Amino acid sequence: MRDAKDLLQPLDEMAEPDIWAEVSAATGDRDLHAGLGPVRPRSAPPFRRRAVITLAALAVVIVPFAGLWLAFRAGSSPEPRVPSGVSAELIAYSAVVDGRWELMTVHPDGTSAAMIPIAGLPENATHPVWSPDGTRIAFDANPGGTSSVEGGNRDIYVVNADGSELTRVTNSAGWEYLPSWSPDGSRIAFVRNTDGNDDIWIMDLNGDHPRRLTDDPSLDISPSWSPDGTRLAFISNRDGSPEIYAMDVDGTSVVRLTHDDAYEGHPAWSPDGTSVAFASDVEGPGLYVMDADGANVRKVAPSGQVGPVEGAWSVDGSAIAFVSAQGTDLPPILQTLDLATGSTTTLRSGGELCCPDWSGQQGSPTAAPKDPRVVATLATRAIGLDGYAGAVAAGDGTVWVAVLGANQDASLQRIDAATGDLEGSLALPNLPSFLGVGDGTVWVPVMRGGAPELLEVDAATLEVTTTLPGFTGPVIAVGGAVWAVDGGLGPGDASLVRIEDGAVTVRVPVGETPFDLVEAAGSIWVQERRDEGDVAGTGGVLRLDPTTGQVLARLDLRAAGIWLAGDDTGVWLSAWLGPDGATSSASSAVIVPDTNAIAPFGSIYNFRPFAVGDGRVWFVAGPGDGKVHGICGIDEMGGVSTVCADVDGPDLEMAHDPAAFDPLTQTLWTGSYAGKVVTRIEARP
Amino acid sequence: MGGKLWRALTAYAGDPELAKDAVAEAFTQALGRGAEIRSPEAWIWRAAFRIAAGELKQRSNRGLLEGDLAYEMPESAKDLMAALKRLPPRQRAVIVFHDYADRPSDEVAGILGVTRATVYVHLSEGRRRLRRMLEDHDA
Repeated sequence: MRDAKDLLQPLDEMAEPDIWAEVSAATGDRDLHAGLGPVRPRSAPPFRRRAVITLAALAVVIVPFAGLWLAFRAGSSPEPRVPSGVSAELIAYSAVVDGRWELMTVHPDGTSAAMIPIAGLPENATHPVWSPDGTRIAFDANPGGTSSVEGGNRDIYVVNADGSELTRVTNSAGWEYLPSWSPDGSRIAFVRNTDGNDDIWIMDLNGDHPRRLTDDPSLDISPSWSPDGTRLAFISNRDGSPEIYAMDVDGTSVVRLTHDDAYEGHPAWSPDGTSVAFASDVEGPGLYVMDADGANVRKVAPSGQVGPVEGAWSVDGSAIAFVSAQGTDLPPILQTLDLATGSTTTLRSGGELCCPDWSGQQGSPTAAPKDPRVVATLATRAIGLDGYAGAVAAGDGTVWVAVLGANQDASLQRIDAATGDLEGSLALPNLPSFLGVGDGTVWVPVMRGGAPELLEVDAATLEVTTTLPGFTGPVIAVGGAVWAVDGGLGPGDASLVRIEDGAVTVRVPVGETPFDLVEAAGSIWVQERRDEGDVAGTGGVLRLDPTTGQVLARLDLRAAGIWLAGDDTGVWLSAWLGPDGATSSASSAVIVPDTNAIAPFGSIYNFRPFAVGDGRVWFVAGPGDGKVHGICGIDEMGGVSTVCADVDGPDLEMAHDPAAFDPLTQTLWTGSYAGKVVTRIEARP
Repeated sequence: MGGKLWRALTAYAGDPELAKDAVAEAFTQALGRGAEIRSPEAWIWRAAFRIAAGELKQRSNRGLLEGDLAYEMPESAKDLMAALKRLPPRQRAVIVFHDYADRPSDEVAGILGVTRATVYVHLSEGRRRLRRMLEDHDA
């Protein structure tokens, strides 16, 4: 069966007419292309600039939140279980065992050193680096085969922490080595050498979209990702001796951080982003630390001789693991340095040792302890329904799915969240895009005969108890009232209304029909957007009082589409910065309810947050190009530790967009637009 | 960009002349607005579609028959164009803009003024129908 792209290929054979003649006749401008210019993204979307300014405020605010959150979690049951394959504070490193380089792990106190058993491990495996969620390790090794570079072929691999599923990520005749994970776990920065010149590149985790960031004849190596995911530190000898530089992750804004005639090597960003550890011999060989802007260079530990002193920060930034040579003819030692006291602990010594990396390195700015309830995998169980899911909602152990069947008939299906059993259905006039779960009811916005109607359906009997003509979704129930949308007279005239006992008590103009609506932290949050004639508008989020509808805050995000999820501690959103914003891709942030400050959260590769539960923000994940890759949860506080369920679908992009979380059974439910319709994911196995 | 856009609009509207006028008008407007538009490419796609859709609606309101195709359609594209014409307009639009022109689904949703969910439903249905029509024809 051919896919759509193949079928549409004949369109490319149509010869285009001379459109420019018409345009230039209209504008009198012959040099049209120059006039229009290439599409150039702005240097930084205002959304991100704002986010940078408020990150400092967030850091101040988030500490009390962390305390609240930990207190809440302490009272939760059941006892957490750390599944195998997930590290809790482990240091990975490489060492020669029985004449072969192997990947090893050891606890920070030096106990339980062990080799990671990897079937088919290629030769000379080294430079292990943990994924941010501690479940995988990237490294480089010699796969064998011919090479365009002296010294044999070298490629980047990824393997699970337990040694399973070895995957080769790069596959070229050149050298690819020195991987560094992005804080959101979706990309890897690395060094590539195909013609004798080392440069820094970046690629997706599976090797797609490789992009070159440095482009000069000098040596550019050792990329290290900043914890906020915006910058890369690296080594370059473009000005003479190897020094430390930093650049944006698109290769621009290169800044030199060290200014000496000494040798520098292996920069490593601290978890809070304020410091960089590195090897140097500026005051004698050893391990050094400086501020992230290059100031305040200080030696923190000596090394016996100049050479790689690869430092790796502990999760809370209080210690650094590093390998140092003790001197000629003396064995190297893997040790940890306590930065406060200066004392060191030897973990391993002797033989060949290299390249430690501390799991969970890019931690949250609050230095909160790593979540012991992190799970590495999510189990899925598919439930077959024949058709497409337009909307999914859940609560109180029940899941509601709006389905368009094979015969184009729409229905609302009720599913038991614990068993996955289909319990009943109600025929609908069309497929809704939204559902709202209330107390014993579910709200269903439909179109009947071309006119919008909001149905109130009794959850137990599946009978329509109320019909409110003229209202549509998104819809949520809050207390005894329901919030829905009145489309008004046409585009730009929509309002969010609050309906109680069949009467509209509040009306808030929101411009275009919002993409999403949520109740969190005691307020109603809704997208507001206005188009301006033909120019796609941008807008933001309104915060409303849940009873009076009074606008408590208006947050301008310059976004065209906004999806929201929240609880008492925060409102997480992802925004589609539309055609008139800075970019067409999605961007993620969190709103801190106390201050309404907005800060970046996760990365642009997270999008469609749909629920908050079990300490995580659950979202439909993609790599930023609009393709869905699975259902993921990211920890509420740090926005770094992510667990994902790879949910298979015949067409990944169309699978699993509407989704919901049932707190009672701790299950996630996602709908699909093709094939198997509803997938049940257990948030913890 | 202009070529791809014209082809997409021709596939959508079924009329190469109308498509050409819409693209030209969109570019002209974009030049007129100049620096006001931050993402010209996305803006032009959206504007061109709206102009084409508006013109199509006007024609149907006025009960006009389709214009003669003064344009010489290559043989390979004729079957495809006929099949596309048989799709409902929304399905045709998402197939053309998303599958042919590679516009992101968010943008297609924005262009059409619908939710992403709706885009996907139309895509599913449209792809299935298009495939069936073209494969039946082959057989």
